Amino acid sequence: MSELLEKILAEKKVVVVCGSGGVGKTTTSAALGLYAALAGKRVLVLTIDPARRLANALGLEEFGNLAREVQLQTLGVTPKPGGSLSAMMLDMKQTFDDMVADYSSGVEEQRRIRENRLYKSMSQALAGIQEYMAVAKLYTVLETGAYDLIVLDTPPTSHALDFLDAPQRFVSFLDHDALQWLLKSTSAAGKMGFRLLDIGSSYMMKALGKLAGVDILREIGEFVAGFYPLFLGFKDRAEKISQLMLSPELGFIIVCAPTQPQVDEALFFQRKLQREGLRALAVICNRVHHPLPDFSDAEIAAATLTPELTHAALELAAEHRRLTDSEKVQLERLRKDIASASQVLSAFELTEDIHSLSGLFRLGEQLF
Amino acid sequence: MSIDSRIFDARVRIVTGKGGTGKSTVALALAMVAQQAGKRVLLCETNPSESLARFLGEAPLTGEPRRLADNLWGVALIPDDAIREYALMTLKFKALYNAVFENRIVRYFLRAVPSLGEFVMLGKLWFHEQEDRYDIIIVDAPATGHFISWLRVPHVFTEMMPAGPLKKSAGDMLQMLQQRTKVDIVTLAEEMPVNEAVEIDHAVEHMRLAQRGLIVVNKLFEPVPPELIPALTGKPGLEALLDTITTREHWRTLGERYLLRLPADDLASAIRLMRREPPLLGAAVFSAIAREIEAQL
Repeated sequence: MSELLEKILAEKKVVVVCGSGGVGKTTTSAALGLYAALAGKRVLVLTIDPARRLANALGLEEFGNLAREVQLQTLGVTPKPGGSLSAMMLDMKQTFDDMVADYSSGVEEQRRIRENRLYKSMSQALAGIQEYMAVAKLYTVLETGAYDLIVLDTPPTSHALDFLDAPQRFVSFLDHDALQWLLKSTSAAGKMGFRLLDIGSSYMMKALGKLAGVDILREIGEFVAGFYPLFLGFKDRAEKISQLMLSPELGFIIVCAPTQPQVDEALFFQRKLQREGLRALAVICNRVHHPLPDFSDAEIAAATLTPELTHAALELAAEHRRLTDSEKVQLERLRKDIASASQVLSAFELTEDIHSLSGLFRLGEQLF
Repeated sequence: MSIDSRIFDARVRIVTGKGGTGKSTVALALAMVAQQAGKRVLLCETNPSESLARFLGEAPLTGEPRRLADNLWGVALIPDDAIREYALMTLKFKALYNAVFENRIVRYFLRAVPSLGEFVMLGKLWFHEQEDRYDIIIVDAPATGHFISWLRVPHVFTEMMPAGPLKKSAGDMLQMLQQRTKVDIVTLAEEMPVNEAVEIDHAVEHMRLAQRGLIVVNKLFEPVPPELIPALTGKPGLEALLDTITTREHWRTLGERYLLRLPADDLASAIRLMRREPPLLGAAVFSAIAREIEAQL
C-alpha cells in the first residue's frame, strides 16, 4: 500500500479530489473512499459534479442529497470493524432550501423567502452558486460527525478553482460597503419604505436602470435587505468553510492523465493551491499505458507472419512506444515540477471498465 | 462539399461534450471546414483556461474578435468582460459607462444578479450573430455539466425577470438559440462520454434549448487486422505486444457497443474521427482534421 495515500486517508478528515474531465477523477474518489472504508473508516464520497458518474462506479441506481450506504459485502472483502462507505450527490436546490430552514427564524419567514422570485431563481441549479452550495453541504455533513472521512469529488479544474474561491467570494460579497449602505437606507426609510429608486433619481441610477431594468434592481434590493439575517448565517458558514479549507485536517488530491495539457493543468492547480496556503497532498496520474519490453523487429519477423501482418505489428508496436515514451516524459515533468516527487502516484490504464465495487477495488490496488 | 452541407444549416453552432473528448479540437476543425468553404467564420471560446488560439500557436483570444487566418476570427466570451461590453453597448457612451460601472454600489448589484455572467456571454454571442461580419459562428462551449444550465439561463431570465432590457435580451437570445442554433456533441467511444452525450442530446431536445446538430465521435482506434491477434498468440517474446494489441481491441469493440446507446439516427449520421497522436498543434494538423470531417459531411 502506498504509504503516502495510507497516511492521507488515516489522518485527514476531508480529501478534496480535483482535476479536469476524463481522467478518472470520480472513479479515483470512489476508489479512495472504498479503501478508507475497508481500513475501518466511516467514509462518505460526495460528488458535486452535475453528471451522474459516481452512481455507475458504485453500482447505485440513483443517489441524491441523502447519503446512501454502499453494500460492501458484494466485494467479498470484509472491512475492518467500523468501516462503512456511503455516497451522496449534491442536490443544489435542496441544499439551499436546507440552509434557509437552518437560518431563518420561522415557518412564515421561510415561506416568504421561498416565494421570492429571486430566491426561486437563485436556488435553481444555475451556474455560479454551485460551488458555494458544495462547500456548504460539505460543511453540514462534516458537522454531523457521522463520518471519519469525506472524499469530495469536484467538477473539472476550471470550476474547481471557483470552488476554492467560493466561500471567500461570498464573505466579501456580504462584507461589502454597499450592503451596509443598503441596510442603512432600509432602516432609515422604515420597515416598508425601502425604495432603491429614491436614490435612483440620480443620473447613475437612471443609467443602471436602463441597463438592467429598474424593477430588477428594486427586487434585488429587497431581497438583500429582507434576507440580511439569513445572509449573516450564510456568512458565518462561509467563514467557517474558509477556515476549514486551511485546516490541517483537509487536503487536496489532484488527478490527471499523462498528457501534456493534463500535466499542465495539474501543475497549474498545484501552484494555485500552494499560493493560497492550501495543502496539495498528492497527484495521481491515471491512464498510464504499460511500456512494451525491448524486442527486435527480427523477433516480430521470426514470428512467421505474412508481410502485411508483420508490417501491422511493427506499426502498432512503434505507435505504442511513441505513446509510452511521451507519457514517460510527462510523468517526469510532473515529478520534476511538483514540490516533492514522492507526491506523484501513477496508475495504469485499466483493462476493463469499472462497473462494480470489485473493479474499483482493483483500481485501488494499483494506487495502494 | 456542397454548399448545403450539414454544417451550414445553422448560423450558430455550439460544440459541447464531456471534458477530455476533444471538444475544442472539433470546434476549431469545424471552423476550418467552414473557412475553407469560403465562409466568414467567428470562433468563440468560453473557457479562458482552454485557449483555442494556442492550438494555432497564437496569443490567447480576447473579448475583441481577432483575425486568425483568412476568413477566420476568434473571440473569447468571458463573463466579466462580457458584462462590461454589454453595459457599454446598452449605455452607448464610455463616459456614462465609467460613471456607472466604476461605482462600487453598482458593481455590487450586478454581481448579485444570479447568472448574469452566463447570461451576458450569450448576449455577446447574440451581438456577434446580429453583426453582418460573419456567415457562421462556432462556439467551444463549457463542458456538459455547466452546459445545460448555461443554455437554460435565457429561459430562466424570461420567466423570472420583470419587464425591462434584460427580459427583452433574454427573449432575443431564446429566439437565436431555438431558431438559428445547433448543438454539436463531441463524444468518445467510451461509457461515460456516451452517457453524457445521450443526456445532453435529450436535454437539448426536451428543454428546447436549441436544435440538435451533429454527433462527433472522436479519438477512435483503427481496428487491427483480424488475423493479427491469432497470429501473434503463443509467439515467444511477443506476449507484451499481444497484450497491448488485445487490450486496444478490447476497448475498441467495447466502445462500439457503448456507442449503440446513442439514438439510432444520431449514430447513423455521426462523424467519426480517428485518434491522432499528440501534440495536436499547428494549422496543418487542424486542416487535416477539418478534411476528415468534410469528407463525412
